[in-house]
Amino acid sequence: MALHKITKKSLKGSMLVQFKYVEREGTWTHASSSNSFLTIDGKQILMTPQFPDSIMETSCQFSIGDSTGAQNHTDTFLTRLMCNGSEEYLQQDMTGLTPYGTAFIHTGGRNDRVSPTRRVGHVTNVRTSVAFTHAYIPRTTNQITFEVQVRCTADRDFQVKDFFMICKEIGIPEDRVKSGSVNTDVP
Amino acid sequence: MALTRVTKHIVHGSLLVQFKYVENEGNWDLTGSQNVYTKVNNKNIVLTPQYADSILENSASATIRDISGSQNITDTYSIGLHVNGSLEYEESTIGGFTPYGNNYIHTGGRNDRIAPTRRHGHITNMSHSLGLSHAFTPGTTNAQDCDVRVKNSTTRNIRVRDFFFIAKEISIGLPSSGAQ
Repeated sequence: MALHKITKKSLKGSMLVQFKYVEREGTWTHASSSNSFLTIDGKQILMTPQFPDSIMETSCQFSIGDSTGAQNHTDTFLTRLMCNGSEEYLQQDMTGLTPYGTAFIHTGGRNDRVSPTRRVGHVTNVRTSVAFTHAYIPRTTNQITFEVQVRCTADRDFQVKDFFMICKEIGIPEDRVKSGSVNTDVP
Repeated sequence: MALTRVTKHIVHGSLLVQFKYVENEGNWDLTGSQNVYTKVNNKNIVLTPQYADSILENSASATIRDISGSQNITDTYSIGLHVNGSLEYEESTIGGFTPYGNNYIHTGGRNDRIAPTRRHGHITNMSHSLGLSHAFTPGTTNAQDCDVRVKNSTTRNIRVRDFFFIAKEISIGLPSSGAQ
């Protein structure tokens, strides 16, 4: 709890204790073993909770998409929030599946005298906007390293653009209202 | 307002009074009455404002996808923040429209001896990342039962994955805070 007694009257409440953010402007490419999680350009937020009962609130946003120019019809992307190397939150099925087809076949394409500009419904390098929000109570005052990692379901190069992450320490008042997780802290 | 005058010094500001969150890890499938708003796995947050002029701020994130495996050209999804059973905020036209095409035509497909596995530019089961952010002033200290519901524009099965939902009570410091 961030606020406590100031005078004879106790002043208790909830406060935003810390607020940190990190950005990766522009394009970062996951170009090797893209089906394994990798931290976005090594970006981290280090935060040491001032109170063990604080809530750590994290939010981030970026865009993601295939950069190979190749057709695929199975790829999706995943992102996860890591806290001290452990997976705290996982978001799956970000975008996909990509429409695929054949560019040049007997109907349509350069060999078709009737309709040479016809193409058969495929597209590559589809992009999507991603955002997530998360919160948890670490119940420690040890330093926490926050990272956001991404991967593709296939080993195919992809790009992350304009990554931004915010991490806050929220000092919660547990005396009057029960803040925290509905799953675990506030039955 | 959560902070008021304590001594001669005025303590005046905005405070986060309550902070609650709920998660539905993994998959939750909507397989019946898919075109009617349904709570994501019955997850909800009940939050009783401590001050009548507080702002309730909500945020949620998840992914959503078709799981029917069938082609469609019209489906879109909607997500709605409901408070005490009433629709407070709606985000519609999430995803869609899905590219479609023919599985079997004269080039490609089972009648093509050269390229029987060739398909013509359609895809099914597309997925989308979604998020919502909302705030409102309930103007009461009665309990506010907040939940997030989803629906399809038609009765086709959909899946919500990795749902996370946060609700906060923000006590406003300035009377000018709130909706414009």
